[in-house]
Amino acid sequence: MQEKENVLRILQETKAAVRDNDSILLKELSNQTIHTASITQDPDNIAVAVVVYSLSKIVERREYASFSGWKEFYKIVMSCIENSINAIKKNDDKRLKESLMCVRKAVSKLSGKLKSYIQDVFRKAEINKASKMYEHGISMEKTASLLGITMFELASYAGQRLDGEVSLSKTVDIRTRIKTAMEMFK
Amino acid sequence: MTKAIIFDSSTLINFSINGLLPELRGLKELFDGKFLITEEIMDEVIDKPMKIKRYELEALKLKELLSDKILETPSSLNIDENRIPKMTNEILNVANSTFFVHGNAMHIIDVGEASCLALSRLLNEKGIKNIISVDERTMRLLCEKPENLFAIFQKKLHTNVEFRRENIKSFQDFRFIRSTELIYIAYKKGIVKLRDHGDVLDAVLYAMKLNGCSISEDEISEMKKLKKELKIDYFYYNKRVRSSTIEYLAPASKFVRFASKISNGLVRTQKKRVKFPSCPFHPLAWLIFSMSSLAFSSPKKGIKSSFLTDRIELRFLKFFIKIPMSFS
Repeated sequence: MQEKENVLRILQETKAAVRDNDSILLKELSNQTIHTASITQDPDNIAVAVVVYSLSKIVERREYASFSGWKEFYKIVMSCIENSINAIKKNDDKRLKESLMCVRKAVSKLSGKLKSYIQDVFRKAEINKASKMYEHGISMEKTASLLGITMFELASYAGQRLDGEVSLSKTVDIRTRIKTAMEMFK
Repeated sequence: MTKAIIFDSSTLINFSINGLLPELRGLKELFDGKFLITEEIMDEVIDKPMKIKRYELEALKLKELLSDKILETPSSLNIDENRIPKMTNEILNVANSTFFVHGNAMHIIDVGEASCLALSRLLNEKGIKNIISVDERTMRLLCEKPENLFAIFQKKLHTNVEFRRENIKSFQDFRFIRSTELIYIAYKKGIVKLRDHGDVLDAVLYAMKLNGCSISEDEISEMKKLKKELKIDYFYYNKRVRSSTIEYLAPASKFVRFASKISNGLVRTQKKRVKFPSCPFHPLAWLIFSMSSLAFSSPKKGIKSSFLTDRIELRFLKFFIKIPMSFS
């Protein structure tokens, strides 16, 4: 795990935000994690980014609390976050990995609608974080392999992402590029 | 001279998701060279997605392009494929040690993208003209304008990024196009079948953009402006790809339609209705009928293909419209 202090702070704030049902703060924290994940490309940093973003989405959808299995899921998630915090404090990378995995295992223990909804949230969180990393300048293929998703899944998300850096994405004048392409077809 | 277009997975996926693989086939028919993909790209667009039910169909369609030799492997141009992995690693090492944050090298590209660059380099060595078709932004920026990639890192990562400019020399010999340029050519050559319904060019360009092609709205607007200068080259397409009579007659039948409209006094130009005397023997109608018969009889050496385009047709009409106006 790299940038431990930063991740420790993020996880501590995440715990508080989940308790307070503060999805906005969770999203903000998730954005902070992606900077670290893009730089380090460390699997644990990426896992933290995905978990925090997924939690922001889960907390945002308050109707999930009414499904059966919610209370157990909530308890497991909180204890997993707590364990992750302790693992970082003790510099125990192995336990940190296990604690982060524990959130995903909690999802697999669910049943019925809640299971499929939350699985979907995690899957979309992975794609969302991948597209964010692509936005940060990492190539599509690299981000897809880091997040364990396919290029097909990433493509449509990535296409809607890059409008913020229009001027920086332009390299060759469009007429010149078309001319180059046409020359190949002559 | 042999030439080749090297396809990155981002372009193939874009064509596939948008259901535009038939257009890619059409482009291959027009292209006097090879469409190449490396083994690494094959793995990304065929082998991996084949194992995922959601993308299995897309993977099968792409596999069929390989079976039909629309896409081919580098060995089809006598490229030693054993050299690609080694060169790919060399490229990866240089590319992924160009930007550093806090002393750590940033891994910006992966093996598939690097394999396209490696293949392009091998083709260059053999003197084979080639271009890489890539929709994703990072590889294109790294090769064409690395300063912009550096600026993106600085802007997005909110930290100091070290840029080793000396590495960039290895990436200057590559040329790129995107799926948008390919689909533009497909549109120009009349391969996009929807050409007569609404703003088709706009629709296909945005579809490409929204499925991963790194193109700005400004660039799309520019392409659409070019469309106004565009001549849909029916004959070019028809002569080389389609030999069916109906396709040959399509432009000629347009003249017939115009001629019949003129005979019936139904022609409108630029919101104004032009009044023609309704007469089956109108001189303008006869003139256009004769043009159409020329098009029917000798498509190869008669009227030049560009003459049979919408735009020219309109200019042609505007020019002759003054004659009946003065008559009436």
